[in-house]
Amino acid sequence: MMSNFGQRSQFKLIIQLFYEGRTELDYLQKFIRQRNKNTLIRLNKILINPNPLTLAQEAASRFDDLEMDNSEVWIAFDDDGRDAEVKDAIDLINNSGKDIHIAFMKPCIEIWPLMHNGIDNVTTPSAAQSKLESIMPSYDHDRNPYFDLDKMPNYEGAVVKAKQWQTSLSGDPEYNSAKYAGIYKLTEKIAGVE
Amino acid sequence: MLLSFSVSNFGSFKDKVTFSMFPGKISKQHENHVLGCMQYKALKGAALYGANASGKSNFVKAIAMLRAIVTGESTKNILLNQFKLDVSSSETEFEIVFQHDKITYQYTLRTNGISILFEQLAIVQQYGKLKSLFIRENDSVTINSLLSKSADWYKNRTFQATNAYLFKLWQDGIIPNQKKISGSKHIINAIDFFFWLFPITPHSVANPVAFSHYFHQKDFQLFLKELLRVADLGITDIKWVSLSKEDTEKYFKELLARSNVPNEYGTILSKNELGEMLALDIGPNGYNGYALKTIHNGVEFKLSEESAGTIRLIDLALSFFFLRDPNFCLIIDELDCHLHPFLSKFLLQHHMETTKNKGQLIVTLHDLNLMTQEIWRTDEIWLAEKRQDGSTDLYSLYQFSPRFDANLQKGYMQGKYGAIPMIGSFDDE
Repeated sequence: MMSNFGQRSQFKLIIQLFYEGRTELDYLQKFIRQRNKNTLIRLNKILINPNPLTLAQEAASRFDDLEMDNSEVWIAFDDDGRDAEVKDAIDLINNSGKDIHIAFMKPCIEIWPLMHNGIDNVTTPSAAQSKLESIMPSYDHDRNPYFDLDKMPNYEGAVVKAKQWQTSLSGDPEYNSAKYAGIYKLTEKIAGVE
Repeated sequence: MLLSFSVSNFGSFKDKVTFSMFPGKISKQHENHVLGCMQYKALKGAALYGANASGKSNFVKAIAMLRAIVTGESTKNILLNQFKLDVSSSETEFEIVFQHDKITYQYTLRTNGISILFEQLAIVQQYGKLKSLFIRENDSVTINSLLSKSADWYKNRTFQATNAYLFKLWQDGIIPNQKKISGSKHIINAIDFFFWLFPITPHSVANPVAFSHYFHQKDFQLFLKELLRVADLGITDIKWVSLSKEDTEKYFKELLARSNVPNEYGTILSKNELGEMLALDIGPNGYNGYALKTIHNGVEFKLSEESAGTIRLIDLALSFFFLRDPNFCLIIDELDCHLHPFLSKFLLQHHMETTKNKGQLIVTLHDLNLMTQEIWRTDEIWLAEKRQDGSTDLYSLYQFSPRFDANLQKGYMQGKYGAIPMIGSFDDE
């Protein structure tokens, strides 16, 4: 078999990320590295902002400048009990006519590692955070809000559950759901890059 | 000629990252930047961009560290600076692929910072297949077939745990004894490569020892004079001006007190605390002292009276002069430090477009005016970014497949290629 010694590869997926907090970015960076996709995928930090509507507005206005081959614009944010703002942000994206992808979590990003551990019955951010602190010793919502991927054993199970929630919406907007983990759309995109 | 360099667990590098000088598959872009090698081709230059604290300087330091170990500058203590934010690994690994005398080699070194655990020199054959010359594991060495006729000589070397075996072979006289030692050519090629690999930092000054070799050389003096003229610094000439006997004795007091110095013919250079470059030229008839002076419209100036940019340019001059040599690989951290963008651009373009310059130039930069396809191919531009866990990610702009006419500077500023700082705001604003 011929070796690819010396050959340089080009990115197969470039993610232009608008994100709410460092937790989302940290998790996605770790996920890409865990899957050994560093040389195939590039995750670009475009904007960090705590307000979903600001993220949506910025993503829509900067979309054209960020477009290039193999690139996708994603925005990642949590509900965190802010249904009205989230509704405005998602509607803005859907009405923008831009191909912007949304990774939206409800009640918050912490639902995602919990789902890897078979836990999906939390509906408030504080419940999700305290539950996660009990199963992931390094996680501390105030001091170290980052995920330990070694404590996220069942990725496939989490994806199955997230897809079930997606299906159960039956066309209803995501912000109407009680629980939601749209980040699976992005992780599955990453996992599928060969 | 450097082809690639990989490092893990050093400075801000945690996982293995690889910097490559292999050309990408692109056309319409500076085809003259691809240096012709027999088996594997290499790029003539590279620029590394990234936010402050992204790991650019650590990249230069990593190469400098490997060079220091292999050339014996760091024999007592390896003095490694390992990744501190995750101490799960205690081993640092360097892997470098290079070409010397038309043969491609791979040299790998692993250390825990106290001793060298593993070292291998191998020839890279077609399709990247490795043919090992030697493997050293802790204090044990395996000599492979290409060196086997002199296996006893190779095996009889005794070395410290902190010594590179490659350095020990050089120290034990492989060069003077090369005709008697089989496979010595490969060892000498590898040692030569490391001696010609030259990393310099924003604050490092011209190496007085290297400069001294060129004290009497007209070629270099002309190059320096021409460089200063082109740079529009108001300098009309630069020359070594004789010091009085009193000043010579004052400046070189300690050196002259050494009993053997007056018997060692040659030139010794030094810098005093003001940054002035001084030379002590010793011949059969005694010694003379000199100071490097610039001339502006017939008036002499000391180097200490010159601007930081002028001093930086003079410091860099010898390194740029060496770039004529195909074996020379110059790595400059922050080339644009103290230099006007026009001057940095001139230095880069001069090297990249001058056909007689066959060496390689790798620079780290902040100046975005220099991120242009007017100077670089897209596979020559690299980006360093600090990940959320504090480790450095290194990747090339080539991986985004930008068009040959893309405005790279604009794209970079928009965040299209990553590696930009996420600047915040003060809490009280």
